Amino acid sequence: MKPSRGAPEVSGAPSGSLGDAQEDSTRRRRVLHSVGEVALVLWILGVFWYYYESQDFGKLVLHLLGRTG
Amino acid sequence: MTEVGFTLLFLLGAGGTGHAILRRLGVSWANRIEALCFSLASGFGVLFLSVLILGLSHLLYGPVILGVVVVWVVLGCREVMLYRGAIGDIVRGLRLNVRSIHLWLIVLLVVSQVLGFIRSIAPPHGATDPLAYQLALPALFLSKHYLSFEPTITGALYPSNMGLLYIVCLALANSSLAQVVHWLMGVLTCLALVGFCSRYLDWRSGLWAATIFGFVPIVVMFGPKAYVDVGLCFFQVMAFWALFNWLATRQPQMLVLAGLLTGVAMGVKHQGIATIFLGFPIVVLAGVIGRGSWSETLRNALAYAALALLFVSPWYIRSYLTAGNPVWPLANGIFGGMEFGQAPTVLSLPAQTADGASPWGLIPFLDWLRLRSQSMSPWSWTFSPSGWQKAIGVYFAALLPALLLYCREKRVYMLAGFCVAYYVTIVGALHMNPRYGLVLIAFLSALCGYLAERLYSSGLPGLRQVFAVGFFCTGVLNLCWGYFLARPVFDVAMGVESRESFLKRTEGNYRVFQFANENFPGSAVVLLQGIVKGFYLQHSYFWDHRHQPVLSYEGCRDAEDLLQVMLDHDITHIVRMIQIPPGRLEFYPQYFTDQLHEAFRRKYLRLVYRDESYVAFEINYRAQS
Repeated sequence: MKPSRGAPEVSGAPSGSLGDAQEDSTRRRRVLHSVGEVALVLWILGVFWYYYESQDFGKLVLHLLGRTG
Repeated sequence: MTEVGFTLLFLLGAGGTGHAILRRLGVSWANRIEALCFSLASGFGVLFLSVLILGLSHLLYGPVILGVVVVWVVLGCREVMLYRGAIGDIVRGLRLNVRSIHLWLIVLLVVSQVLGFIRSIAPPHGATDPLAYQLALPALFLSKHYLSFEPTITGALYPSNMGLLYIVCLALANSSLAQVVHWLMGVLTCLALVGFCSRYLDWRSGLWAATIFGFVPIVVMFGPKAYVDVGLCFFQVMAFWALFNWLATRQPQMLVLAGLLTGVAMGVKHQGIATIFLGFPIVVLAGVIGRGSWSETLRNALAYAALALLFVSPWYIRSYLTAGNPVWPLANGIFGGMEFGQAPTVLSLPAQTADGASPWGLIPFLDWLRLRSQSMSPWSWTFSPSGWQKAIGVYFAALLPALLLYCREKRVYMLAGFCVAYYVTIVGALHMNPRYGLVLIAFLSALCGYLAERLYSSGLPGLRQVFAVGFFCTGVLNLCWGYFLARPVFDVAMGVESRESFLKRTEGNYRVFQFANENFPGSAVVLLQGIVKGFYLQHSYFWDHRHQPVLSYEGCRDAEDLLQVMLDHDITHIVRMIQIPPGRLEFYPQYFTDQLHEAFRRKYLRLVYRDESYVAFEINYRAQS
């Protein structure tokens, strides 16, 4: 039976390899999560931009500045 | 600033009486905001019931209403005096500093609500629904001193708890107070979101949620006007919140409260029925999943439904006794009842057309989906809504994808699941119109508030600041829009311009009604033709539109027949919109080009008033040959 990925291949292997594997997995997950957060913030800012652009908020602000200034 | 004083009195009365009742009921609370919100909702429920009893007993007189409100406020004040320290604790409990985004969220929210308040104290103008029925009916009830049946006015027999509150406002002050009260319901919903999130998520998420909800265009547009939808939203939020509390604690008092508040929500508008349609299965499912006995599950479900129906039943009984149908004119096919012009449709789910030529037509559901996809798509509600009542704003499209990253807890899954269930309800039974299901928007705001807080509190350094700045900028842009909406009413709100002159400028109907009020005899009965909102008319009137069951032109062959219709209803005058907009021609004929109406006008109508949009005629019965 093939050992599962990241599991020690033979009994009595140094316990450090299990720790390394877990650390790798945690790091990989953290990197993935960070990439996800970057993508999320880009998405959010993109949606914000597209929404206010498409609803002509730029014109509205200019109009208000013209009126009050 | 009469409106501010009355609003504070309403808060005292509702908060105090509600708190006293809930204290006796023995309900325990997770936080003070929760206690405050439930007290306010219950206190308003008590006022609704009191005014409903007055209305059914033909006692809608100013002094009687004043007496009831004074008792209600005095009872409330006594209770508030006992607990005044608690309100200070709520404010002190929010520990905020200038560098925290949460403080700035509060600033954004407060400024947006102040702008909304300014709009609400202007005299009601522009919007059709409040001036045609949501505010017009309470004015008629007050003038007749009871909940009369006005068959030509939309929603004549609908449940109308908010309308009862508007009766109080009109009796004690003016129509602006009714708008302020509706605006207040939006503020209370924001507060409820903070309390709800404090209990199930965390209070910081609540601040995000309240800000998001406060900036939803539907709330911004309709909140400061005398509609009823934001009021419905508040009571639905409270009903579901009580139900969730019952699920979490199994406190029987919470189920009682959930049932009663469901009844209050159902009594605001027929769309509130969705509360029991979702609440009842939730109670049953909770019993089944919680492995309770069948008898206990059944008992809980029946108790919940019975309490809800108890509170709303006076409205249904009134409708049944008047028109033979408890929900007249809806479901006339099921209940029978008084005939109606063109019955409104309720469900939108049945398949539309089976277009055999296209492959879509082979499967009716897919065909229906294709036809309606634009109407039900949250994406289109965000970026290209068809009207303000579908405009949900930017935050949901922007933040909901964050569920993929942050949805790891059972309660968040459950909240998301609830939102999906309510969305299906809106699509299937509420005309795919988010304005009718604002409670979904409120709970989505809670969900988005949670996601925003997660991103802000645990996001990568740098990214969280970028997000916070981006969000704040959207808030500032929303405030610009709020200012833009409020600017035209600044003068009248500050007393620089008189209400009379403001209304002449901004409300198309006002001048013709002013003429009618001053010149028509006291016994005049007026027929309104077209989009003529009757609120400012001080005479008896009928409203001519295709949904009303009273005036029918179908049997009229000539001007004489039409004259007979007018005579049958003692109509003496007509106020008519000159040009019906093309989009509304399915509701009204284009009177001045319609052969029958033109023949009638030439022979029997005498022009007594005209402006650029409206005319008033007197019916000349003596011309009858």
